[in-house]
This record gives sequence, structure tokens and C-alpha cells, in this order.
Amino acid sequence: MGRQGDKVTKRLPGFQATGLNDERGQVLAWTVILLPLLLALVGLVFDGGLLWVQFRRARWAADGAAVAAASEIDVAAFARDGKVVLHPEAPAVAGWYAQQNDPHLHITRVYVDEDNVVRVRGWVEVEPVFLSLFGVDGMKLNVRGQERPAWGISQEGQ
Amino acid sequence: MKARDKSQTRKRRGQSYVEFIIVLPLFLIIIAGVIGFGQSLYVKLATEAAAWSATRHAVATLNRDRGINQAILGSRYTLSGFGLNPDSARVQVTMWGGWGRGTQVRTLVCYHVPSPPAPLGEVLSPQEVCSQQTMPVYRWKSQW
Repeated sequence: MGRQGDKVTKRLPGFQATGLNDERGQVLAWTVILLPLLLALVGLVFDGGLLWVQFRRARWAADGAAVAAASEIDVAAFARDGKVVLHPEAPAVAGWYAQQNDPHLHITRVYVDEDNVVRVRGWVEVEPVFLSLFGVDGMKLNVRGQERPAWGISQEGQ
Repeated sequence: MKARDKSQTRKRRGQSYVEFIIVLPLFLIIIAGVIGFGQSLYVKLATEAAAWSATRHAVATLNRDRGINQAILGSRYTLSGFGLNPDSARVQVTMWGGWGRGTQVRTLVCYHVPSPPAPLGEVLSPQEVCSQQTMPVYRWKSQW
């Protein structure tokens, strides 16, 4: 062991004298290098979480808007043709409930598909915090909601 | 020579410890922030889901008392599904007018967030996270 130490000393003259001084502050140097990377990672995680929560909130708000729109149906038309037809005020009602549940949600379309399901489409603008430092001020995310009108139930409790 | 090597190694190790101790608080603060934020975010998602589920279940019935019971049950099951303790939640059902077809019902679900097991966790974590959802009671249910 001692011999090996001697060999190294011979190969690297001055190692014993300056080695400790050269290594001083190594951890701090690494910290300075890695800290921005770590903070960037934390920032992305922070923004990702925030965007996900805002997106999920908009999704549930869109579903709530679809529930409201599904109440605004033409009962006579359904009784006659078996088709769900929305009242003209259904989009406004859906928009009002969407605003109640998420003020950032904008409803763009309320319609009934071929399966008699009321569908709502809209978008929400989410605002990142960390990414805004790099000029990303807002992101537009599309959201959808759906609801089947509660018709065809013969008695309370079903 | 052997003794000198040993002394150098000890000095180096001690120096690393000192530098590590200088940097440690910074990393602990970052870790505490990530844990606190993650926990709050998770609880926020859970309360949003619970509020939606509670309102959805409440408006599906035309009976006021049953509606309130269904709201409480819906929120409790959802919070349990998220692995949270439903007993730490507060559920409030508000309605505009008498309970009936088309009545506007709002459900507020608040969850008391415990402090994360990390330094400064009490400072970083909010005490209560709330979410609400509004829907009308089903208008055409039991109409036929």
C-alpha cells in the first residue's frame, strides 16, 4: 500500500503539496453547476402539476356544463321521435354553469350525438409559472364533457 | 509516508463534510417544497373529483335529504379512492330555492391537509384545500 502511494507521488510531483487545495470547494462547485438543472426540473414538475390540475378542473366543469345542457331538451320532440333535441338556450345554460365551475373555461359547442348523448366542447387557457420565465404565458387546452339526459326512468330511485 | 496519507485523507473527508453541510439546507428546502407542493396538488385533484362526484350524485335524486346524503357519500367514496381520510373532509351542500327539478345545487368539499413529513412542511403546506361544483337537479328524471 505504501509502495503504491510512493509510486503515485513519484508520477505526480507536487501532488501532496497542492492536492488538498485543488479539491477545496468541489462540492460547492458541483452545486453551482447542478443547482440550475435541479431548479429547472423542479420548475417543470411544478408547472406540469399546475397544468394538470387546471386541465382536470376544466374537464369536470365541462361535465357539469353537459349535465346542465342535458336538462335543456325538447321533451315533446323526444316523445314524438325518440330523439334528443336541445332547446336553443341550452348553450347559454351550459356556458353559465361552466363559468360557475371554472371561470377560465370557454364553451364553444354544445350538441347531441347520434347516440342521444349531450356533448360539450370548449377550451381553457392555463397559465404556467416557470415556463412564463421563458415567454410561455398561456396554453390553450381543449376539453370535452358529456352527459346522457335522464329520461326513460320510470320511478324515483332508479 | 503512511501517516501523512491518512492525515490528508481525513482532511479531505472533513472538508467534504463541511461543504455538504453548507449545501444541505438548500437541498432540504427544495425537497420540502416539492413534497409540500405535490401533496397539495394531489389533495386539490382529490377534492375537485370529490366535489364533482358529490354534486353529480346529489342532483340525480329529486329528494332533498337523499340528495344531501348522496353528496356526502359520493365525496367520501371519492376521497377514499384517492387514499385520503374522508373524516378530514368537510362537505357543504347549498341549494337555491327548494329542492326540485332544475334547482341549482352547489357542493363544497374542503380537506384538511396534514403537514408533509419534511422540514418547513408546515410553512409550505396550506391547511385546507377546497373545491366546489355546481349543477342543476335533473329536470327530466322520472318524468315518464
